[in-house]
Amino acid sequence: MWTLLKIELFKIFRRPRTYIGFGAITIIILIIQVGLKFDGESYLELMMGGINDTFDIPYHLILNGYLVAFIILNTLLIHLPLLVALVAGDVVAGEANMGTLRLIMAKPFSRTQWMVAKFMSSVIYTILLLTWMAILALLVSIAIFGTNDMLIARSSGIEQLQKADILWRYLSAFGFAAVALSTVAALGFFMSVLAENSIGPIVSTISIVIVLTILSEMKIPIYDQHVKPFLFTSHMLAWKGFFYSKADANGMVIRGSIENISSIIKSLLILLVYITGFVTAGIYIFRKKDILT
Amino acid sequence: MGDNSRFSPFPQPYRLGLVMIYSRRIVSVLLQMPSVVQVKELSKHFGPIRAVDNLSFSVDKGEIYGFLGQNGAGKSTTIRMLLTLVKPSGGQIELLGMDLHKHRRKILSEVGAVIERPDTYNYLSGFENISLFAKISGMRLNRKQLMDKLASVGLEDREYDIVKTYSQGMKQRLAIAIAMVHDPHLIILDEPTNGLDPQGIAEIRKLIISLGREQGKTVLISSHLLSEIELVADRILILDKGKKIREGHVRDLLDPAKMVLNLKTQNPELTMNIIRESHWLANLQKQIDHQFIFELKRDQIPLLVSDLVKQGVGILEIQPRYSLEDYFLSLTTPGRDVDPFEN
Repeated sequence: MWTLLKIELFKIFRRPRTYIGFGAITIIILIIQVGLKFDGESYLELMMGGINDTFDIPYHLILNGYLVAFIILNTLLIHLPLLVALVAGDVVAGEANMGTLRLIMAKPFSRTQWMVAKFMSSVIYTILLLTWMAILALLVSIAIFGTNDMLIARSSGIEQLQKADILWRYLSAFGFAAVALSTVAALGFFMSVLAENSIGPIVSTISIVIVLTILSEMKIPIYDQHVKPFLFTSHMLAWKGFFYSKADANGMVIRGSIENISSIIKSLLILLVYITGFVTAGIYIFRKKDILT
Repeated sequence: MGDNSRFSPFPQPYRLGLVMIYSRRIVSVLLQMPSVVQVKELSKHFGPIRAVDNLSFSVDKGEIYGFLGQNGAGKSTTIRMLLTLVKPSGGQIELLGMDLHKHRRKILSEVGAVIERPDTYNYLSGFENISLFAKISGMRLNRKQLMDKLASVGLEDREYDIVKTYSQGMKQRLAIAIAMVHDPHLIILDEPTNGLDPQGIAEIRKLIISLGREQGKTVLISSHLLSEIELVADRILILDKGKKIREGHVRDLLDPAKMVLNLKTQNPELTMNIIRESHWLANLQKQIDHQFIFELKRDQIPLLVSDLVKQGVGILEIQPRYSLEDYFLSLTTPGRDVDPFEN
């Protein structure tokens, strides 16, 4: 299995298309960082609305590396699934399209082993993409903007997280995002089993994610109860929960607390169920499949 | 690969010993084995289409076995079933003396194959491709050994070029090198000369003959080009619409005493009446208008002509031919009226 996994990773990272995701993330993050560096205060004034008319806000302190990273994550984590789909949708169908599937499948290992190695390689790619994003969004932002307490805007008001209480939240959020994006990788992997060319599964995966994301964001009561709780896209943004803290009687943030940990765990479990479902179904179908390409 | 060693509880030196014992077992099985490939009543249906229909054949150790048929005859489907790419609808396959579906991994570790097009990873170099497939096949080969494998098919000068830049012939040779990288006992080549120029075809033919005659490998080769097969194969199986039409040694099928005689007469009705009432009916394969095709022995030709002339048939043309191609076409062309060989 380890040999197969190494081979699959080698193949992924020797393909030019693999680097599209890394390149796109780098460019977007750098554009955001440069924009905020030179005109960050205007951006914050816009975000704060009328508050700055009432209070004297120290923008130079608020605009720090942690906040910039949060802004970047809010912007990018919605779009990252599209980049994951580029690789995951191609993972099996690409082999069929290239004609290498029949060559590989005539080798002495089981189809299940190969499929597990394929999925694991997609997950590793996803984690590396996320890690690259974390390095650029968090570490580079900290290097450029420094660190300070972070303000989180919520519907109930503004929450202030202490500087020393932030880094673990980011690490947890990235961990959760890895699971969330692995769900997209699992969907792409499943779609990839059904097709014999790469475009179909990539476009299908992206389309499904877009449609379900729109459904998850729609404010229609009937969907809130009967549809949204079952959509994996509704749970993919639960990483934000790591930045929402409990407050004490005086309304002060309790350090190291998470407001609704059970909701995050529930979302995590639902995503894991989806991953298991997609991967199991993909392997089951592939094991039964005649290789005719 | 580590299939055998991966799950082994033994440390490395013991595992090496077990691999050696296992290899010896395969060799010993091969030495005792009458047939390397044994197929019984194999069938594959795709919905209502019978791609392979109750096919049985066997390939002996060290034999080059030709698999012939027009496009869609069922050759590739049969080969894919031998490689576990396609699941049979019925029948039994034994390779290297073992049941294919019970001992899939053991068997496939001793089989090398090129299936239809010589597709490899075209964004990798030839060296990277062969290195990758060596690892997948469980081989730990060093750089020199891999280079030797590439050199054996004449790719030593292009090893670091990506496969996308290779010619069709080079891709085909790379695919054969990949199929051979783990030194398999059985080599399956599905249409290995497809898309090659005459020089490429000659090179592949030479390579196949060398595998069979010099290296003692068992080779199963399929093609729709009889001219190719008859030059390399010891025995031939002719498939048509998924069914076995004929199987035999090339020397028997090309028995010089047997001829395909193309006879054109002035009066086809009279000719047909005479043939129908005589023992020549058994030799008649096909009639198309004025043309009668017989299969008969060389010394029967003057007797047939004499019989027909005596009874008033005007002979326009006599064309005795001796070719497996004709033989093959006479068996597999749609609309043939008489087939004395049909099972």
